[in-house]
Amino acid sequence: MPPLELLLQQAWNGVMLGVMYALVAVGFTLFFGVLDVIHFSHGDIFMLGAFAGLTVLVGLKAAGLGGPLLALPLTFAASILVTGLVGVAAERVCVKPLARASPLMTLLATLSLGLVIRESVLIFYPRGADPKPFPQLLPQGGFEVGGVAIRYESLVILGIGLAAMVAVDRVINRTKMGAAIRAVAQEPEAAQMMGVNLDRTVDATFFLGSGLAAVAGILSGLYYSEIHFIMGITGGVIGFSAAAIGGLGNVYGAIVGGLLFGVLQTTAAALIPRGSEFRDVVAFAVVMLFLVFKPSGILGEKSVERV
Amino acid sequence: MSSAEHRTDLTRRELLQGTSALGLGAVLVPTAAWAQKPTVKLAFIGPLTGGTASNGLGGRNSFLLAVQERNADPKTRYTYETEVLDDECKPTVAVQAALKATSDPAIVAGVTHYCSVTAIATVDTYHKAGMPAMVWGAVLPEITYSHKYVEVTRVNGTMINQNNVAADFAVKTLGFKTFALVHDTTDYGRAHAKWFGEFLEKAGGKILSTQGTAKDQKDYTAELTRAKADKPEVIWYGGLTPDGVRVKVQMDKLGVRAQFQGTSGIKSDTFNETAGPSSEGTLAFVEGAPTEKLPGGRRFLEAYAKAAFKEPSEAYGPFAYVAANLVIDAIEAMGPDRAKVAERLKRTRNPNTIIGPVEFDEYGQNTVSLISKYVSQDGKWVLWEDSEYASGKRTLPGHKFKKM
Amino acid sequence: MSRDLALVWLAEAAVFTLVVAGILAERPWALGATGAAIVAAGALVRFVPRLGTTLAGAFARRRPAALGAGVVLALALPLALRSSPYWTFVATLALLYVTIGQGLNLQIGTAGVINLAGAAFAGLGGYSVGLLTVAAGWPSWLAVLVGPWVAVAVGTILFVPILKTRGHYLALVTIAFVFIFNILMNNLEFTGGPQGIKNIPTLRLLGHAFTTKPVLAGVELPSHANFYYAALVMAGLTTWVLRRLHDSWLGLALNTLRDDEIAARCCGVSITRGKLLAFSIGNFFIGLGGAFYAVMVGFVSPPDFDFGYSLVMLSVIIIGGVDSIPGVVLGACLLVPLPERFRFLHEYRLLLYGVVIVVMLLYRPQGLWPAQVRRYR
Repeated sequence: MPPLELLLQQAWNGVMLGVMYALVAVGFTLFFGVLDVIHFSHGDIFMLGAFAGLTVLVGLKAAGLGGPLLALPLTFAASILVTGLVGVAAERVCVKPLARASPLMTLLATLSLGLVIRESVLIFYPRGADPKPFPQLLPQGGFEVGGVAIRYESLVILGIGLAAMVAVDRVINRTKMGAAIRAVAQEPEAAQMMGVNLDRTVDATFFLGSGLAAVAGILSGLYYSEIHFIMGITGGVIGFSAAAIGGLGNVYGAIVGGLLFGVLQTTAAALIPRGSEFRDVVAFAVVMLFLVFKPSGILGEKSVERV
Repeated sequence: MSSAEHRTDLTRRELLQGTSALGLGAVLVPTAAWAQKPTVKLAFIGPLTGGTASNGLGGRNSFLLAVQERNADPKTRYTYETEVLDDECKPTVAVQAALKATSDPAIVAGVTHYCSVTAIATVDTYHKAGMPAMVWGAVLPEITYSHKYVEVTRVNGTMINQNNVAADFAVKTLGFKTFALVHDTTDYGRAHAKWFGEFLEKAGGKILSTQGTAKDQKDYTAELTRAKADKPEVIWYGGLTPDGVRVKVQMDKLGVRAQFQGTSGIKSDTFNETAGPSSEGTLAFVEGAPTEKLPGGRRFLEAYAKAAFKEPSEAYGPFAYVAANLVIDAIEAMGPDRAKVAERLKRTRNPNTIIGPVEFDEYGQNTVSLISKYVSQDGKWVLWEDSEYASGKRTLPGHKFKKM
Repeated sequence: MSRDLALVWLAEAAVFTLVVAGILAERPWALGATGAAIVAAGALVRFVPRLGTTLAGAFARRRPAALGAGVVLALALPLALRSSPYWTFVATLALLYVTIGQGLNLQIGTAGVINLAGAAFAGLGGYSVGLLTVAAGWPSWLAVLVGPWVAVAVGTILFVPILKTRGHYLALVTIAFVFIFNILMNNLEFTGGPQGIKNIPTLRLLGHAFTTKPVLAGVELPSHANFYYAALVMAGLTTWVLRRLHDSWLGLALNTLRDDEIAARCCGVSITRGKLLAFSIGNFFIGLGGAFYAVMVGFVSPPDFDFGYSLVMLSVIIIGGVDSIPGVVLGACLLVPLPERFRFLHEYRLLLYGVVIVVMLLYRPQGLWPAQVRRYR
């Protein structure tokens, strides 16, 4: 058994990982809420967000606007906009036309779309096959609390991640569009009868979810100082898993699920022998157990069965 | 297919490559001479898509460069056409690609595979079809040492020599005692960890921990935190560039105070570019003489730069280039006959290629076991002997931490 | 009536010629001409309604003759492709996907049990063959017969999730399963780790190894032709068995529970029995395909059975037509060779593959050969 401070350090590592998973998971859960679909290219949208952010940063630097206080907000705004629009386009092309068909269709269509996005970045981004350095904009260095090393950078990333989650919460609970999203999630037909514009609401949801993925992508770039075109594959599967553990359709569940998955991965790597090789076995086994014994997720509502 | 038909065939391929791969259009521009010469086809197989694509594309470009140069040479007896196939770094796809190459009677020989898993999977395919295949990048020992097929040769060294030199150097020359090993769980990483570990213990080093990680893993904080707890002097990583970058950068972020040492897989320009300042002082080892030091090697790098490929040649580009040239030499000598070319290739004895002398043993393995030691200095890989670290002007991170 | 016969045979011969020409055409004009001919033939049937209905009618009236001629042409395919062992291999692979696809179609299409772990069950069949032959020294044919049962046995692990979850949740359970399977195969020692199991002995029939080149009517065929014929028999038998199953009361019951579990229960269909039976039978055939793959290629390794291959299997049944037996055959025969045909696109190949799948799904969500409404006479 490793000493306590090591465990705490691993938990902290897991929380950092989990914040990014959570932001991706929220997208999965939102899409599921309004359209009852799993939008599998969401992992690659997350990757695209990171690349959009990198492109903006490089552009700003070339224009002489490399200072973090100006560059960061601009990067987030531009990347959220671009990625959000791509997300809406993906929904219009691939998701909504198939929403009434069997869920398998959407599954295959969005997975294929993810492949298209991934391969496009590989081919069309300059030297897209290589991992890309992501500029370090946040304060470097750090401090130690009780044997746990914490970097200033991580704190800022955590802060931005939490702010994004609070912002989503506000949008969903305090705005008219949020009310529309909640209404559609509960009962699309009734919502339409009450004057909710279904198409616009779905578009807004996909913009919101994809924009969050862009935030996650940029945070991932800042945290690891590196992005790569294949980061969306595992990002997608884990984001979906996190959303499912938390209960599909429940935003808070997705956040809890993301954090849980991150902590699960790092502590499994730390605690069991040959843990780093089998950590994903542990994580996915836990996902399976959750789905079987708590099928509605940690915070999901109990599904009512018609009898 | 009669030889007269190859002309249209080349034009089609040219068109496709020219339009599809951008920079490649220039490579296959036919010279006036080729119209009269009979044509011979060569295959290239490597990963063009997926996570290791950058190495595959660099190898492909180097291979095409060699073919272009030989086609431009009026002294060659044949005109060489190319068939480039993607193995996706997956064994099944590789077998399909190898079957496609071997079943085309116009293809006389191949320059094949970067990933060990694909190279080992296709050995029997080349043997059954009797087509000579020269491996240009895969380093797993079994690819040559598990059989005595005349068809399969390998121009790059195996990981055995590399790790022997790497372990001795780290322990005896640099004086490091304790190591934490991290490796990817592919053939490449696992076998590297096995050999490095064995040689390390022989040299008197101590392994504090060994951790296997998935290929393309993003987060290494858990493994590094675990390794850090034992306070090793060296963190050793057996794997390829994208993962190597992540390990090194995250080491710095977590404040792991240790020397970073990698294998041939991280000796790429991409490593330095992506890791940025973090790359400083990283050690890596590559089989073969340093390309940039040999006269031919400099010429290769210049020609490569002039050809304006979209992707850099990467560490194994020179090997693909040499393999293509050796294969062409054999065909020039023996004519386009697979069996004769295979025999001839196995007896290759070429003292001055751009990777140094090449000579195959009874298994078809290049025996010239020259290993080059590199250190990353100011964002470039510098031969250890020429570096400011060796001259004492700078101190390796590992030595700095030791003093503190 | 004899006009029907001529029409049927003529149509089949035309399709066969176009397919062979499409595969073997190397030069641009030949490839272009074949492509144009295929498009023209498709357009003709599509836009000249009389031709389409006449053909359909002829095929309906002359089923045995059409099937017989189809079998003859399938037998003749290696002869037509004898210049290329590679394409014989690809054709054999397509037949393996027919076997696997039929198994998967019973699960997903007929019973609605979503299974994205197809690659894992094929891998279980393949790895069993590898371990039984190389480590335990069994003869290959016996291992191929036992391998599928291992897939069925391991499949029982998923019995509880299948009964307790459905839809997207079941999809995720099976995705998790295929990931776990892959990591275990890659990291455990007895499965050979990342290198997998090599030198799996080939099949033998009456002392003849399958890897020797067969001679048919004085013509030497490529070495994979043996496997092609074996795979043809296997795919044919699988398709026949699953067609009977699909048309049986069990098939009908499975369709009912797929469409509405509560209604099915009201009609006395046992959900538990139906789902588990369909899942196990399906795994048997998926495992059989994997086992056959192992003896054909001679080695198995983790990347051969990763999640990507689950998706190929899924696209075979969706593009072909969910719950459609002939659709699966068509899907496998299109989706396996097509990416091979487009190898010359190099790094653009996967991109195009993704685009094609998306376009097909949007343009024809019901599949290329949709399931017919059941008719009982």
